[in-house]
Amino acid sequence: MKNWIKTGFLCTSISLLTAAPVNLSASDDPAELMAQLAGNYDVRLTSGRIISGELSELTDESMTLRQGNASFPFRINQIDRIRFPGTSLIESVEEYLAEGNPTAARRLLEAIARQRQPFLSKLTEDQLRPFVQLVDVYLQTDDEERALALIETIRPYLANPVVLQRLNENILTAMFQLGRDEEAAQLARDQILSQGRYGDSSLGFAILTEMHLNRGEAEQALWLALQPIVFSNDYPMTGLARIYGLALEATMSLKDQPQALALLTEMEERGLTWPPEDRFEPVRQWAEQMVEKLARQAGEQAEANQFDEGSFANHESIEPKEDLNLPLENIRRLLR
Amino acid sequence: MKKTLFQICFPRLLLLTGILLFWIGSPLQAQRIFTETLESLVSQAIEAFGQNDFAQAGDLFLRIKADYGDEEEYQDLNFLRRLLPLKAFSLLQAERYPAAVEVFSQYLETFASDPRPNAFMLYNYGVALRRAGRVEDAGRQFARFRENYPNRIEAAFAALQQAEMLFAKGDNQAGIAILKEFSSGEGNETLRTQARLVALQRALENAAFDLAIPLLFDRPWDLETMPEIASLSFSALQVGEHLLRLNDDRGALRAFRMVVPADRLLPLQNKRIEEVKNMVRTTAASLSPVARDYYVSLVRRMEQQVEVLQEMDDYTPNLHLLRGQALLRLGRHREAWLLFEDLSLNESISTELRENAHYRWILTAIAIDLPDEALTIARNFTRRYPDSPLAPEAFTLIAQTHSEAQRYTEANEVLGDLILRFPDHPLRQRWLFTRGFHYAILENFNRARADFIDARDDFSATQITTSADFWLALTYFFERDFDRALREFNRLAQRYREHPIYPEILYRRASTLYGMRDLPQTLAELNRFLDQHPLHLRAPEALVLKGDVLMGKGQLDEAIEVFSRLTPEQDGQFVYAVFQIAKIHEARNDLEALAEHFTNYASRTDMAIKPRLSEALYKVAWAYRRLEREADALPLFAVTLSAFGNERSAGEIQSILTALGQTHTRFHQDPAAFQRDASINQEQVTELARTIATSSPEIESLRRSSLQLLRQLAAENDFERWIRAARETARNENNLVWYSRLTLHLAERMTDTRRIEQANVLYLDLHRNLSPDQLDAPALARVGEMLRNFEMPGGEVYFRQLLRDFPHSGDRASAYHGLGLLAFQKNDYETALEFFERFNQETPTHRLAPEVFSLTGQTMIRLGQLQEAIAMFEDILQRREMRGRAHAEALSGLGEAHVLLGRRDEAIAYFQRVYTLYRAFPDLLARAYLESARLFEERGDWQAAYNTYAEFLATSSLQTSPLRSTATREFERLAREYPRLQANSPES
Repeated sequence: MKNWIKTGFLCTSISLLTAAPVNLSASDDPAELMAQLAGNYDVRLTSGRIISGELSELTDESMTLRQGNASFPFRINQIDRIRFPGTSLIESVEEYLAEGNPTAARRLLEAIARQRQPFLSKLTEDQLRPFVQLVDVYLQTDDEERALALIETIRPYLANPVVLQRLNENILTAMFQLGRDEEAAQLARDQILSQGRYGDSSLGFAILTEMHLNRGEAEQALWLALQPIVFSNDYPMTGLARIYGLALEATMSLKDQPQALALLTEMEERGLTWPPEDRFEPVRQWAEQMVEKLARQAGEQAEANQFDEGSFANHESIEPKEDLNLPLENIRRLLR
Repeated sequence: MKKTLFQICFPRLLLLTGILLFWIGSPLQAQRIFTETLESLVSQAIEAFGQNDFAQAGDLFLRIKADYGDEEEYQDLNFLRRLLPLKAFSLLQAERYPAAVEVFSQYLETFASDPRPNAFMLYNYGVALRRAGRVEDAGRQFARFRENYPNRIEAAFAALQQAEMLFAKGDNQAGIAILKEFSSGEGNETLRTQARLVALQRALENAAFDLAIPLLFDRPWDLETMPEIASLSFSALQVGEHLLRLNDDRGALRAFRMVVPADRLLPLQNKRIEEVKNMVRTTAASLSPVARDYYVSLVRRMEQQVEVLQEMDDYTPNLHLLRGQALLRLGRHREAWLLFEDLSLNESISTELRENAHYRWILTAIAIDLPDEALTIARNFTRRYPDSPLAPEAFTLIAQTHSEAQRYTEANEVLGDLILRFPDHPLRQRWLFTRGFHYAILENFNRARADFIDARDDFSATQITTSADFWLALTYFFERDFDRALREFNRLAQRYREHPIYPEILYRRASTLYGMRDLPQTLAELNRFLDQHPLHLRAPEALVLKGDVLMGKGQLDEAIEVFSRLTPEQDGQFVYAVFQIAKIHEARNDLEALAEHFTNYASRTDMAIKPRLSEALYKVAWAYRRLEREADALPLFAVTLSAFGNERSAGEIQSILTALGQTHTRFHQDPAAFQRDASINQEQVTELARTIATSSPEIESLRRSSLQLLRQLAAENDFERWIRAARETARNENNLVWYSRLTLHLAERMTDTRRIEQANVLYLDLHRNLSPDQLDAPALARVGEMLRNFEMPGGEVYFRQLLRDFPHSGDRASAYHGLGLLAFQKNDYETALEFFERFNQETPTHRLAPEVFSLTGQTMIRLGQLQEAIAMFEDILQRREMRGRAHAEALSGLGEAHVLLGRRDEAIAYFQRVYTLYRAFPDLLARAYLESARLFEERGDWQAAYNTYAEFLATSSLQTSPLRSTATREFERLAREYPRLQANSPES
């Protein structure tokens, strides 16, 4: 059995092929699409021999390329490198995604995935990229089950830690979107703890925060959302705008206007814009309404909150023997 | 020859390609020019040059000049155009800088008529000059280069070089200006970033923060790609620290965000080094030597930074401490907490830093108003750092937090810890004084005095010593032990005659005399005080007190004169004086004067806020009604309710509603009169609205709502129906305080008409649908009472809210009663007694006084304060207004107290008085019988005991008493044990 069948890609591939049709524009004519994908393959075999031609036959174990009247059959496990026809479609995918049209991008990516799926073990990281993009697109189009199946399928062929991390985050997102909160919460905690205090993704925090907000636990939500905010720096962090949005939503629930103002000002300083999700529309409106009023009060507030901390002295402490963290366990706020 | 030269020169120094191309550009022409020997020397020189043997090449070029310099061939301009660059560069590379300078200069002078000077020669002329130590000349040549070739990559290097010259010269400002100008231009991004970074570093090296801050902040840095990310981090850290010192916390935070944490920075910097190296490798063919040199030195610098990073202590914890501090000062407490929590529990950082972070963590918890958590963190702090000088400060702060939140008991717990644990601390005297002060507030005067005495006597004299001494005297005053207080103030007056506290002592002595009702002496003392210290802070209070004394002496005109001396600037005292004058008018039944007085108060234009205005207006309306000017009262009621009905702090709203109900009834008995007065009302309403409201829209709004209210009252002849409708409207319009007041009024009306169940439903409505902070004092009191009566949870919340929000309201009596009773039921007699005593002292004329007085005695019995209890019960028996159940309870209590004192006969006498005089209270009656019988039996008077039980059983009102079974059992036991006993058995 092929590896990709073993890992369950069969199911996925069937579903890919039978994916629901989407509205097509004139340039997305399926026939044209098929024509682009049915062009010449370039294959270099492990022997060093290079074969080019159109695909005339493909089985689980072998494929045949045809050049004019000549046919060149070979076994798939003999392939060293393969170049596919229709790579220009990747550009169209990028354009669709940039335009915010994941549905159209999905159709192209599914076609590309169908074309490449028999050769998964022979693909370079770059050639696997459409599969990774397809996972994103499935999540964007609320097709989480398919996203999860596809991740399981392609993960064995990926080595790039950045891509693998992205897939792990996609699993987390899918779990959360599917309402599998318990699993999502565990994955989120794992994600947070595995990346350390200065990780470059705030997704885990965002999901835990959103769970608390959904349960009406704004105070806990705020404590969580503030963690990536306070430990991040100007080095880019994934999802930072969203976590600011969620923190602001919590401040709105808590009617904590000074905190909201501080976050809004900081968002602006950091060049972050409101995340596009509908969820943030009410908080965005609330923030806009109060920002002018609070801006006037902010200076006074900061002054009022100043402390006279006195001086700090140098001295050595006696190393504690007992677990001094124990009394603090119930009051700590950092996610551990 | 052409091929050979290319093979030699190109791979080596690509920028020289141009020069060599000049040379070999026209070989035929060259052949024509050179003599055999000159040609061979030139060939040797070029070959040496091509092999990077610049010393040899330089020598050869110099020999050519020496041997053939005068020859016509040598002086040919085309020849020189090709020869001089090679010669100059060879000498430069051979570090023969003066010679190189001369050749570069010769070239540029020789070809000065070119449209632009040769870029290569000009740039390297600058380099040569600089290396020859001619810094200023070098700077000029670099500036010239930038003018001529602003878009060439070398312009960037020229800018950097030019700036370096200026820095070396000490002209940092000019150097930074050049870099700043270049960095904001349109050249190579990496170099522009580099120029900006160098400018920033230079500015910081020279502590020129005014230059550094805009360089850091003006434009974003691309942290994802910039090579010297470590340098930026160090610079940003420096700027952040500076801004923090200037209290620019927001700016500091912005700078700190640019600092990448050390454990992240190291791999990032290594990655960037690899990226630059890789870039140099892959683009070597297109890089100029200048650029290549630049990148080589860049990599070197980056590697040095990595070395520094590896060797230095991790700066991240310190960075986070600073960030936390900035956040704390900005009021962003949660974020500060997160940083401090992280640092406090990070065992890998220095103890000193951890300790500082832990201390700040406590501050943060206090700032978020989490005192319990602050205490936990602080206790943990002292266990970790038992010798830290910050430990007592931390606890002091917590005590202060409790104190500010009026949690005095909790504050004293913390202070107690401190006093015990740090007996030699310099703050100990303050702790003792503060604890004493809290005890005084809590009316625990014995403990307060103990602390004040310790604070006074155990330390060398300080400001606190005087305060403690003064407060010691005050405790007697607060306790109403005026004799002792007077002695203390007399002592203080002797001791502190020259001290700034002396006038305060005089004033307090006068107050004490007033407490003793020694009015002449009080007046004399006050006059002395006011004569000697007319501008003292207590002078307004002294005036008010003087007015009260004169009132007490019946000198009412004089009292009015004294009260009238108060002005609105004297705030609370002024308002008090206004209401005291009104009291005098009322006492004299001078209703016109009363109405005029309060109307004048309402019309004052010199007060932005007129406290108790609703009460004043109510009194005006009350006076009108007494004067049978109902028509004038009605618009006053309407405007006052419209203006203050929804204002939680406004008083007398219930009184107004009651009066309004009566006026309404009277008007509806004479609809014609009502109709007639309606037109007058309009004008009055407008006038009153002008008096109360300030802005035009407010006046108009108040006028409209008041007229609307009057119209509704006119249209509805059932006042209760009007209340229901108004209540509905208030709820719909979210005027919840007004809603609660109408609800309460409705409930009170129902209680008055014995519709108790319906009234309770309304109280319950307030409990369920409104929060305590939407209720005024009467509503809090009634809802709290209702919950307590029904033993429903939550009553305590209302009582506490009442005391917090309305500490001077008469309704606080309900809170003292309710809280005391709740504590009593929980057997917390000390707390119960505190509340009951506050009731007795502050609100002794409240309707609940008989019950509370009695409860006070009961509580004292349970605390073993038997003599105090007896005194209390005897006091009740002296009060005619407490006749009835309170007297019965007092007799019962006296009996109980005497039992405990072992005075059986006295006890029996008291119980007998209960069942003789107060047969209307079966519960007390039953207990009195049983206690008497028990005591008789103890005395051995079995017959009397037997008779008493028999009387109990024969009493018809005790047929259903829960104690009847006990009486029956005891009666039968006695009959069995002493069969000869005979008496009034129930059967007989």
